[in-house]
Amino acid sequence: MPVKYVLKLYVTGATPRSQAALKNIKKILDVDFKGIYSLRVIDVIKNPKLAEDDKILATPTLIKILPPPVARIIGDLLDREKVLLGLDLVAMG
Amino acid sequence: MKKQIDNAVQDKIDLQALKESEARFRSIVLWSPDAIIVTDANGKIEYMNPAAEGVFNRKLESFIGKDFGLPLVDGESTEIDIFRPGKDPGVGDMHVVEAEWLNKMAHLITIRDITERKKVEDELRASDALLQAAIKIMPVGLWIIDAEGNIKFSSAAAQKIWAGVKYVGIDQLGEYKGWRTDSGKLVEAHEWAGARALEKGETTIEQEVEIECFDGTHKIILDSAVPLRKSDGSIGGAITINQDITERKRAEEEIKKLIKIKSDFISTVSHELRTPLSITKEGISLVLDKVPGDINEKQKGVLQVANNNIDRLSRIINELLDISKIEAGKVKLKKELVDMAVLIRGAASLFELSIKMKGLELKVDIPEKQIDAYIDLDKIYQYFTNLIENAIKFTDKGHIEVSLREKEKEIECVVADTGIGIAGEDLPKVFDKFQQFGRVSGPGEKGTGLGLSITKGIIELHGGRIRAESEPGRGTKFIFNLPKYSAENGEESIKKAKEA
Repeated sequence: MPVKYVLKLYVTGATPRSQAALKNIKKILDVDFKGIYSLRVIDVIKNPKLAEDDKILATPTLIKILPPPVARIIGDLLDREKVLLGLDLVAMG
Repeated sequence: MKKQIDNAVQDKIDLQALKESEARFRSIVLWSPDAIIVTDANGKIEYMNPAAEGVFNRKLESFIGKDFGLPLVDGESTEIDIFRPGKDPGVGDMHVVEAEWLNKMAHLITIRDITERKKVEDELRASDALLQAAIKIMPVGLWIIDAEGNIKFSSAAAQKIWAGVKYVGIDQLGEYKGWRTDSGKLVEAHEWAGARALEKGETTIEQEVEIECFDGTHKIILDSAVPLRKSDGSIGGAITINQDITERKRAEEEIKKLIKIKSDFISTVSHELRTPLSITKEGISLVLDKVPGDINEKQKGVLQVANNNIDRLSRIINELLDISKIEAGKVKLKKELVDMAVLIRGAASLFELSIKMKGLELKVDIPEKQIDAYIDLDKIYQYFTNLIENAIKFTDKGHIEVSLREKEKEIECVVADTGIGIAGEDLPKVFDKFQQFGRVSGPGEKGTGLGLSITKGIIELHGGRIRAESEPGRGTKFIFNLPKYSAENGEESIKKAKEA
């Protein structure tokens, strides 16, 4: 199946917040979008330029690029419903 | 018309109130140390307060209208990482409320910079984890007691030592049963090191107690405690440390027993050997003296060799007896006041002839004055002459030097030779029993390998010490120090030196 969902997750090094965000978002994506998503994880410490270009103020920030419209959420990614709603995504099936 | 005017007036009043409340709101927003961000319903930034520039460490004008992101906060607040270009990342505590802003739904976001707090928390956590890990692997038992004597914490090792734990207050510390090993007295509740730390502020270091553990077994522990003081100096608790030394004690007892068995054995055997040996020697001497009849030169030679070896055997037996006595602590010194200068000079002159005969030179460096020591004359003389004999035996050219120095608190005596020396690796073993190495013995009598260890034992019994220095091929130096005698302290000076 082709990739239909493209996302970027900005994190800061390996802080507990970064690790929790990555774990949470993977859990959500693997349940509802398995095989059809691409998640790029960007560390603002290693890629400050990318972060500045994307006007990142704080992390974890999750940006959905595809499908349009572009949407972004910031904060903890614990609540599946809120995350999906915030990204304007509808869970498949 | 009137209604219209009324309405207009009311609007003005409302507007005034609104303006006032807005001013209040504005000043809160302007002067808040927290970053305040207002976004629209989709997370686009509409407003940021001045503090935000400090929190994010950059100019933020260009961020207005840009996407901050829809703030997701599960619960009251959430921690986020703050991206600060050119600076280490920070940590923020993000609060979000939904509010009306310019007649639209908006998110009012506050971000408090908690970087410093987090750093302190992390450091505390790290040092706490370190402490916990240390406590966990420490083989000693650790107890933390509060001001009332309640046991707040006991490490795994502590519970293992006591075979369990009872969380009791200070009056019930008697639940922990133990007896002092020195007096055999029961340790009362208020006599435990921990209780004394709490009640009297005392510090106890390693008090030996035999305890009865909760499973009924007995152990020997070292009990230590220190009071924990609060910032006002009052006692807020105590830390107690228990070390289980049961095994060590047992091993020490065992070693003491073994040493005694060995010494008894050696002295018994030596005594038993002496009698037949002296009868044999007597018999050979009689034959050599031709009492039972004439013997020829050949026979005489054979018997002479036998006689010499019997002498050597009795020397070995005597030295074995000496060393076993020293080790068993049974040697009694017959001390008297001796002028060391006379003693050493006398001993040296005794060897003048044999040194010259071997083509060596005797050097004597002894001050022309009385240097008193309180010693067992016979023993010191015997073993000092042994040192000189040794030096002669192992030296083929050069000289033997005997010197005496008076120091502040002790007398230093040196026997130096220019002989074959002792290899570096053998030097530390030179005073060990049965060590004969490096110095290949010459044509003289073979030693027993006990002489130096007896010498060391005798000198140490006097409160002195002996050491050897050597360079292979260049010579050896034996240096011994004895405590100096002074009229005021006499015996005392020796005792003190011994303790030191």
